[in-house]
Amino acid sequence: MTSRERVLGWVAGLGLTAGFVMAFGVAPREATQGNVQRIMYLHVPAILVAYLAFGVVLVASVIYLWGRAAGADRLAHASAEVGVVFTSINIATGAIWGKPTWGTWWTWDARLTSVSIMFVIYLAYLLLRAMIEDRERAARFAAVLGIVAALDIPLVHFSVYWWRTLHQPATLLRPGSTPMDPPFVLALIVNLVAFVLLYGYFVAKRVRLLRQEQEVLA
Amino acid sequence: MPDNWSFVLAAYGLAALVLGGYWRRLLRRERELAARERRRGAARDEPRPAHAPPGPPIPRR
Amino acid sequence: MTYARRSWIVLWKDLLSERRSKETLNALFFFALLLLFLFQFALGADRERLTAAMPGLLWLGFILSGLVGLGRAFLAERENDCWEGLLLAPGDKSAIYLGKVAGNLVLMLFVEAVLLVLFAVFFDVDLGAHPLRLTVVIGLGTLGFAAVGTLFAAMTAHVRAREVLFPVLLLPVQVPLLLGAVEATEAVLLGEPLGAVGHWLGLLAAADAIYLTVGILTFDAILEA
Repeated sequence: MTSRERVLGWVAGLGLTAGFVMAFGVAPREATQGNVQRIMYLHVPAILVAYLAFGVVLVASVIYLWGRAAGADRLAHASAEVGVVFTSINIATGAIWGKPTWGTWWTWDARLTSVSIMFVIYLAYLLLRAMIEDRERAARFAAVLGIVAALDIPLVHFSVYWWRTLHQPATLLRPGSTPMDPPFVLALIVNLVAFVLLYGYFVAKRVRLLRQEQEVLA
Repeated sequence: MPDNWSFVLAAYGLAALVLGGYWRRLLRRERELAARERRRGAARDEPRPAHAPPGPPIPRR
Repeated sequence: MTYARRSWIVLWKDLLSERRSKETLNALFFFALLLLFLFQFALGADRERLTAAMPGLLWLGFILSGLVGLGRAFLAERENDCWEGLLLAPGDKSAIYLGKVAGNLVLMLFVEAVLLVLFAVFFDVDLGAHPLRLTVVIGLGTLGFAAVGTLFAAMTAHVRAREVLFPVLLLPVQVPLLLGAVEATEAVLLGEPLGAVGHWLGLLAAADAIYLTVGILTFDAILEA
């Protein structure tokens, strides 16, 4: 059981190393932004993985409310926690990138704002879990909040986008031709895969720990 | 455009710190659980006193 | 008993007990009045500045008084040991949810009407120019707020630190409602037609629909002991 987890951990570590090499060795220096653009190889995969994590929370929450499988609840809990970690990385690296590029650590631009609202929503989700002692009740309430939170993300996104926008449009997910050169895209994808692996490793470990905690405390 | 290597370093360093911190937290929890499991296993073999002293408090963050 | 009738009974019970005790409503009116003072102190006497911030202040007032009111939504059931009564109610539990949402909606609309009048009098805002448009915007915003607020109020009713947890859960989730309502209210106060803020009204309606649907589908899971 833990051996599979260990293999996943090693693969994730290798992936991170490969991503690091891609980001600094293979991808060329970006012409307009300079080397500070290399932060993107952290910033963008982190938020994509966070979205993945919160999507998993939604699915696991629905499954939990449907059949009350304790495993689905543990998956939702672990995934939300790891998603919050990755969101914090996205926000921190974004601020560090913004200082030399925009001249400020923080602006209330659309995507910064919507991501930080998402961050706060899932922090509240973890807080709700921490504040309810009864495990079964915590699971039910968290599942409801997990569904509301996930459905709220598009609403937050649109509302904040209409409210104000200054951010450059997401370059990777835009349909049609990507304006980025292949080496940049490749470095980004390698890092994305590495982050997904790392996410899988963290979640697998956290789910196992949650199960053991519940067994010990039972 | 200047290169701003210090910002790149700060970003990667911070990310490493956050991920490493979370990883270490998981590892520590793992060790604690293992120790608790061992204690419980040992306690099961011998009769438990009526007022067993509770284990050391689990540090929480 | 039909579904609508069961919802109606919950609504009627809440309104009746509120009318007799006036516990929440009196406190809320007073709270609304105090908010007016707070806003005035925070922004100073500069009329221009107050007018510019008016839609935001208005919704801040709605939301703060809504937080206070909604936080008490399940107080009667909890303190008088009537939670089992809700659980034992026959049929689909979502009827209870809809009744509660309706009750909270009525309560909030009451307080909002009072706040509007207070704003009109003390801050010299012309609110009567387009009453219908304003009603549409406020109604859409308040409905979503009541829908998600009722859900969370039921959730936090049994948590020890509910006074803290309830706003912490509710405020970030309803950011889209707040943005949409403030922007639409601003446009209406400037005399623009509703068509100019159609996208915001669409967003508010979508939020209302999402929150109500999730509430109806999941309230059963929240009500369980």
